[in-house]
Amino acid sequence: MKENYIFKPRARLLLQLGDQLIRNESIALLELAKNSYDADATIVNIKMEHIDKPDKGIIIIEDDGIGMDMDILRNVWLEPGSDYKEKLYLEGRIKSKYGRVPLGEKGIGRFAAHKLGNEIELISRKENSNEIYLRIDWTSFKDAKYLEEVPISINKRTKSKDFTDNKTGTKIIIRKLKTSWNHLMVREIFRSLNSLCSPCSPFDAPDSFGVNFDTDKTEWLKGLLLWKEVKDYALFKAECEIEEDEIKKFRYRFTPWSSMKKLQCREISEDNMEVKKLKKMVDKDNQSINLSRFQIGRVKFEAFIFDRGSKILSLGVQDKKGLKDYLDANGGIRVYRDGVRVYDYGEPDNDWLNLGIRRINIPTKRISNNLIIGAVHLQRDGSKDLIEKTNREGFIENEAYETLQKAILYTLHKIEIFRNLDKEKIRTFYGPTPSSEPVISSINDLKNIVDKKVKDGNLKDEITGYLKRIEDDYRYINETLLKSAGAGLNLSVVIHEIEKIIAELKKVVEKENLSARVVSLVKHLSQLVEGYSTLIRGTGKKTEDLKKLIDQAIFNVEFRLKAHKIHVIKDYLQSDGDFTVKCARNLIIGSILNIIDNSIWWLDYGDIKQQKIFISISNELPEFTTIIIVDNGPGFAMPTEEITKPFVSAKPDGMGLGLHITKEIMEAHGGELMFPEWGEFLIPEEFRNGSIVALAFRKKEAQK
Amino acid sequence: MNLPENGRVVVIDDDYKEVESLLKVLSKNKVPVMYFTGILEELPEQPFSDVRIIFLDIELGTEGQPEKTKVSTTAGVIQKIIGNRSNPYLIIAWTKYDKLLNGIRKLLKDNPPLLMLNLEKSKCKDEKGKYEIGKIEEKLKEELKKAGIFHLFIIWENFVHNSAGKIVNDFSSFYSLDDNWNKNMCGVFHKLAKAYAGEQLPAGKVDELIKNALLAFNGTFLDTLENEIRNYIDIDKTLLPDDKGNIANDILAKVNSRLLLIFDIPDMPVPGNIYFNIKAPEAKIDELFNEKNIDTYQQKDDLNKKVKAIFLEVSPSCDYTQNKWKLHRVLPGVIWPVDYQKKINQADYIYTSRLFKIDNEIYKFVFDLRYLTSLSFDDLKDKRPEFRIRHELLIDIQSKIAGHINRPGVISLE
Repeated sequence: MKENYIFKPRARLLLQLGDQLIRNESIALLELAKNSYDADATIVNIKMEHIDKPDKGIIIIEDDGIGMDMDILRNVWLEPGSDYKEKLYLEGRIKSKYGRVPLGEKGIGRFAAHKLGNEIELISRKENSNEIYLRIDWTSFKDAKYLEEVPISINKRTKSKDFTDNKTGTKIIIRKLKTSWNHLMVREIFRSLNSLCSPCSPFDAPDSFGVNFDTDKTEWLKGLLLWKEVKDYALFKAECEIEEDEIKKFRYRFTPWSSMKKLQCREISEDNMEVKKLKKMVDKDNQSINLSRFQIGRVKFEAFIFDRGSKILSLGVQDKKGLKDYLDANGGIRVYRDGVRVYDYGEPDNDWLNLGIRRINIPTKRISNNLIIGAVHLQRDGSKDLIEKTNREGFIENEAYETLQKAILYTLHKIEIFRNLDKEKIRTFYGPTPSSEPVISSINDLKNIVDKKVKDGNLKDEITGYLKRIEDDYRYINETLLKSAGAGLNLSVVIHEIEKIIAELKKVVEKENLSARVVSLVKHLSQLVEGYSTLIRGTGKKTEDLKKLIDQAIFNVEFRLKAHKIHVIKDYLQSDGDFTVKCARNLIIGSILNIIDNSIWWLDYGDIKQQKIFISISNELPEFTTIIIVDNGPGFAMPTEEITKPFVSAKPDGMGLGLHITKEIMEAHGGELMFPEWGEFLIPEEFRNGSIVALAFRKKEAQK
Repeated sequence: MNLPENGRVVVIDDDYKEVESLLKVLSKNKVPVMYFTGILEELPEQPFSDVRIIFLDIELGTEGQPEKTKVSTTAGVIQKIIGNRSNPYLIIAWTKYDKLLNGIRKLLKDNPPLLMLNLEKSKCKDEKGKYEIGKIEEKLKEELKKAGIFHLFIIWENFVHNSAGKIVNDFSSFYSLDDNWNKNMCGVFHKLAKAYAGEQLPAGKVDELIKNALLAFNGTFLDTLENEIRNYIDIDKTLLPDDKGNIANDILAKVNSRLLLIFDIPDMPVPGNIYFNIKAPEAKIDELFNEKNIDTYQQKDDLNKKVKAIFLEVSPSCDYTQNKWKLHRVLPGVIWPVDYQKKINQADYIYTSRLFKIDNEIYKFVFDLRYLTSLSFDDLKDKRPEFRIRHELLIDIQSKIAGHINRPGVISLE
């Protein structure tokens, strides 16, 4: 026998939905503001009074949108989960006079009101309709058994009380507040509402949609900085547009304050040669990042980047603490769709681009969330593959979303390249002297934390193994530097960087659950320290035949060259003469390898069909024996005077040490790392546009 | 602990100090090693074909380089040492970069290691950070247990080495080790060559003299080796678990070929040689298969295409050695594809062998004993043998021929 039944939702289901779908009060208010946006409002006024006393408190949200009539209220508003807005959008029947696409397409906004209070009055008026009035006491849902047992009465007012003079709109009054608000919550709401609209100019301005916030607790908002006051403190600004697999538009501006008299403004655009070379977006494995694989559309990325150094801030910011607090609370990269915020990207708890972790790798060169206020602008029509989660906590993490993440990170890294150069200038003229951190004791602390926190034996062994290596190498570097007064090497920048990384790492390890991610960070650090300890270890010099050292370097990367189908032209084998110099074998091989490693990357990046590296040796340069390494790739993507500085790299995820170490090695040998022009040496025509690097050694006679 | 005792262990590390303790452990266990730093000029011109164990550091002058370069360098050094020929070897990591081992295995795809073990270098140090020989030895023993059946090959190779050593010791001590030793032994080598080659020994050819003198050791060597293995007492029974498994025909055929066929042979008429394409009466294929078992005409046609006529030189070895042979005794047959092995005629004049792998195909040898024939020296003068069957198999076939020729015909009534 077959019997049919139906679901009978309990009345309290509505209360549960409200509680669980809307994470906090801040999101609840934002949802209500989004409803106003959908209703074509140009302004939404939010008023909060006596909110520290739930019984007395009142929250009023009032907009000047198109309002609702009896029909919409009954058939849409009272039907939770209604797909009314979504259908309108999908069918292209958007009636909005501004052509806005609904933000609240999930039909869950009304629960937001319940998140805030137990009693709601809703007054709305649509053009040429009567004002309607609805009151809901949510507590009655607790008492009744089934939803159908709770009657909702709607009154049609023959004479408008709230929307007079043919005005339209919706007003929601919330009483019997569910929480007692404090000043931190209000400041948070204020901040959130202010960030609802993009701080920058999106593609299509949302037709002057604005949010007014008013409260009787004015003292609670005292001292809060506003965006318009803050944005002028940003020293670096960028606007980029990305589409398909390229950065289509790029504008970077360095705007030092007037007090920084030694510095000048500069602007870089997509016409800049270096920017042109870096337009194609790739990930760290040189794989293309292509937005056109998905419906993501053209993406605009804007960034305001700040400097938080106390000494720097003293040059132009009066309320240093205020600015820092503002950046702490508002910093991050937000996402806006058609000019309205997609939560909760850019909120303090949502580091969706992993900027924090990325920074730990190279603290001074990477921008963290509390240094940037950025906005990613999407166009709703073109970005259908980015699907928002029902609970308003960002996009579903699909491939399209991951591609967007990679594209933004790539673009940010290109901005960083220019920002780092300017930052360095600021530091040169106005920066503090780096102070030393007690590294070894920090490592010991780290070891203890790992010992206590990590239960997994293998993971513990792995992390401890890396820490041990870091400690050994670091101790070696420090001791050697002390003993030999640097052995002619300028490593102070690097040592400082290592110290900072360890300090930051310690913070992360203390804060986070230890995971494979921590392992990768420790590993990274260990590689960095290893790179430098090498520099000091291999200093024993002997007379070596440079040709044999080139042979060895090519042999070392033979498998890699084969995998990348790179043909090496060994021109040096044809050269006759004495090519022996006094040098540290491993360091020179390492230097050649660093250059070949760069070539391998850039040949791939440049999509060169027949990839070639040309290596020759020459005694032409007076007093020098020179190894010349050239590729037929796109050439250097940054000024050659910059690329030898530590931690400067145009490669995504590049540590930026290879050429710096090479330069140090050459100088320690009394030689030079050079970047000659094509024509200075005999190099075939096909290598004209490639990168040309020369390792110039002083001849033995000159060495003596 | 089973480690090769005859120099097929390689240690690769760019820093001698790092391997000093490891070398001490190996020396203590009578293991000679070849040591390489990874410097290109110091690597062998031609790769070794019999390396069994490589102790490996993955930091060969590539400090500070990306992992890809460390891996590429190490794989390059290994390839220079072992080449691309497939042979079983273990890699035992002696490095702090053990996480890169898999990357190396990927690059060595043409000749990958049987197993990658890890000595966990950092765990072989004492509290002061110095390597401890005891710890290395202990860890090595523990890791080598994972090598399983590979040990049996090492044990056998060690027996071979020891047996050869015994023969050298015995033969060299027939004369007292004084100033005349060299002169005296010279005479012994001449006699050995003569004894081995008999009348075949060409006069005045010193190279042939040396070869035959060395060949003369083989017989006693095999006996010594057999004795050594039979007297093997401390057998670790765990090395051969009771897991017989199912061995595919392909593997059976390969093993048989390795045991009973010789492919790299000199161009000379020797008993056991197998020839293709010679002018002689061939075995008749129609008589080699069982007509009843052939299902279709197509099968017969297919079989005809796949079988190949062969001729086996079955002259007695003593005739050959003593240069007494006047004719080639040749037994015609075919190589028969494994797919049709059930179709072979089971008559008593048909000789059928086990499976063999020849030119990448699996075959059986099928001979028709009734077609035994003789050929003149001229008939085979310009013919190059394709391969040779080993003495044991030849004797088996010769005895079958003898049995067939000698079978008594009994007259009786049923």
